[in-house]
Amino acid sequence: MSEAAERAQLLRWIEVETPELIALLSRFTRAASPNPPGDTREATGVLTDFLDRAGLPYQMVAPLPEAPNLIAGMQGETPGSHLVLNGHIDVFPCDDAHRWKRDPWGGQVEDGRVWGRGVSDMKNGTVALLFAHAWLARLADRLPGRVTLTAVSDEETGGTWGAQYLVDNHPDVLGDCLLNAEPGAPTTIRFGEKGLLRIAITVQTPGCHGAYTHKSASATRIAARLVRALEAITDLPVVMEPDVARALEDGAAEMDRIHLPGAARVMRQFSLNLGVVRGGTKVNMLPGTCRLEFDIRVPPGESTAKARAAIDRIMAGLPEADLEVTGLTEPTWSAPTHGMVTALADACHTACGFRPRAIASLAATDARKWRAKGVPAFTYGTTATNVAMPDEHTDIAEWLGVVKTLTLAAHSWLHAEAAR
Amino acid sequence: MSSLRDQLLARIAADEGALVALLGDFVRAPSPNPPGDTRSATSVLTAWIEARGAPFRLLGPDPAMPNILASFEGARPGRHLVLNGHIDTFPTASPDRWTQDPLGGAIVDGQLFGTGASDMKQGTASLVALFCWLYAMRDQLAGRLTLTAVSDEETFGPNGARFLVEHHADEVLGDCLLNAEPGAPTTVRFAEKSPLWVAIEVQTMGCHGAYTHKSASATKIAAALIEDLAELEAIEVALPPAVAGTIDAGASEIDRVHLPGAARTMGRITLNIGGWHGGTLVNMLPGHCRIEADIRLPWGTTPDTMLARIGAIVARHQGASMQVMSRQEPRFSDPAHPMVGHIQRNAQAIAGWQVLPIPSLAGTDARLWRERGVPAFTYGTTATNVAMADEHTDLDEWLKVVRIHALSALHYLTQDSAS
Repeated sequence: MSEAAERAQLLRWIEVETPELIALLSRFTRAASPNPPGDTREATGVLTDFLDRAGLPYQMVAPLPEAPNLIAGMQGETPGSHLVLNGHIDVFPCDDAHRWKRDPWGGQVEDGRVWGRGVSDMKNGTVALLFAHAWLARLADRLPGRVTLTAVSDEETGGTWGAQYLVDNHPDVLGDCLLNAEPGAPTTIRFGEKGLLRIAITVQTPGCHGAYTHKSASATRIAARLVRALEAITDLPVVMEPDVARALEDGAAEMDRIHLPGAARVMRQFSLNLGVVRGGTKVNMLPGTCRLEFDIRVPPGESTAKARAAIDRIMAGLPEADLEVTGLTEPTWSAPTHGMVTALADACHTACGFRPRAIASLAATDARKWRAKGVPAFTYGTTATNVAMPDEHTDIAEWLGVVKTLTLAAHSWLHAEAAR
Repeated sequence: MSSLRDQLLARIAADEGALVALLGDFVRAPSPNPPGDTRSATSVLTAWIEARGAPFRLLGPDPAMPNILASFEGARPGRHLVLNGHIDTFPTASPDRWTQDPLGGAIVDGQLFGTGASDMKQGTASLVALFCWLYAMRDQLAGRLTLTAVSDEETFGPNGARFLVEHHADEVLGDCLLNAEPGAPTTVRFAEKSPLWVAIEVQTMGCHGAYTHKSASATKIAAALIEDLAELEAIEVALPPAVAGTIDAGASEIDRVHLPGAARTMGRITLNIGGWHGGTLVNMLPGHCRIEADIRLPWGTTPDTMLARIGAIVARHQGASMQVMSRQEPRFSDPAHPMVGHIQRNAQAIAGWQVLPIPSLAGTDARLWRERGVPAFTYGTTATNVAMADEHTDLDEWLKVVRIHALSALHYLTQDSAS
């Protein structure tokens, strides 16, 4: 069978097995796996049942017994490159069930959509990769290289016991390239992610009665001045590799389309969110304490250190203010010209008739953990629809296009690598 | 007359130990407001009054915030003096910075420590004691003496002095008010700046914190608003001559008592951002933020003028709206009133202090009497660490102020009614 015949076979299987795909996504959604608290055993069981029925081997890695991670390996017939697929099993919690039109844990298939908490982020992506893995396994005796599927149970709260644990303790999951299926938009391939610097600044002054404004500096007013001054971070010059800069320029219109106008600008700058302010106790007391919590996103190409240095310069004249770093992730990016980008774009063109753009992501995914270990990593998935909001859902027709794209891209990348 | 004075001083001397114990007990009975449950602190005072056989009533719309109202008639007609103090305290400020238990009432080196020890349990205890001493001497006095000890001062709430002046005006307004809020025993306060409290809410859409282009940030708009509100402090106010004169005459004393800058602050508009709260999680872009501003107005301006200015500033900011939490007209009493003279003479005689009439930076319940045309004066101990860690009162100074309060009330109820 030629590579083209294999591709035709894969598309046929997808066509014929679409009812099973949808049924499994619905069943996976019904197996609630909110994190926190993060007990994903029932949902993991849905995946292992499938692998058992398909006769495919897997192992469980469970540093937390209630949050197992799944690793399934498949060896091709001839030597080649190692592709790793990554999705997560846990989902956001649902504390607003009363605002949903449907049962958040019902997994209803209605109006051409599957509904439920986590169906978009990212049970649809994890199921897509699970099926892709199974279909490629059927072609194992014709494929070069190797495929490893990872489905992790700790993504929503930072990933210490999920992807981070795997890449640190099971070097076998690193591979030569990582394909992740977090939702975003099927018109984009994400090759990088912004970094993150979270800081808490506490302004302390003596404080006093509110009528005696000459007696003490005001923690709230110093904080307000500081907030205004820190805005300068968003004007810091940003240095990017030429390939990255070009890709982000080419993808700018699409970024603005899917994330609203301004997204392409924010992608290429340091952004500053003042997420929390807590200052003062009572209107007529002059506050002696004000706490500010900032979430700063660092564009690909830059470093958290540059943001930190700018913050330190701005705060130099404010002895009343103390800074504490509460979170730090460097931006990560892979080459936007990597073979996987081509494979995904070609596969999407074949399956759906359009070519997605390579862009970076504003929010974070586990792909960054592979990039941090030097493995090129790419994210491709459905539109993020109502993620972390009521009535989260996945459009089935769009999802089938993504399933096809992911499957065909994985397949063609293995062949292309072997041919290099 | 001198015999009445000596009688009163003898009573005070005999009660001194018990009075210090009363203040300790009063401080140990917590009454932070908010939340404002003052029942245990109130019962410390009523036990003292009951033990001395004086009549009193507990009044108020909120049973958790009782107000003490006590009154007696002298032997002959005369003027009606009203005493006013409050039972509630600020919530304990900066609890982690105290070197003493804020609810301990410990006496260290002659200082009694605790939340409310200065503001104003010492002043209220002084007035309760003076009421009881003069009650015992009532057949030698003219006029009428009324004690009000209220439970809703710290938030300028409706359940304390405001309730009394609105619902029991005949009993509590009187001809003159003596209030015992702390300040400095070298000053008697005849006027107060008026607080204007404004809440500003900012509403935007809000979104995930990475998508800063999707929604304006309520917290950042609030920061810009706070910066803009500073323009209020630059406004020049033309003070009435009587007030301007006392500020000029008292400037060095005002700066000494309230730290340098106080005399200048007295005649100007000040801005305190007492509250600034917004957001839930660091990685969410906040769609809501609230600022609470405490603006103090000097005499010569009005809340209406100021609200128009603030409204114009607020209108410049997307999603911002303003609501008035509390407002008052700035007022003043006659700095040459006889009560000022009594306090000046008694302070000189008891402690050798030269007392100057000055306006006050902070607000007291005295304003409620002034608003109703009753001359009202505030005299008390040094305000030490009010709304700060290690609030305390110097007992030696306090016991002098106790005597000055008592003698000034005595003189008002004897000499003034004779004239």
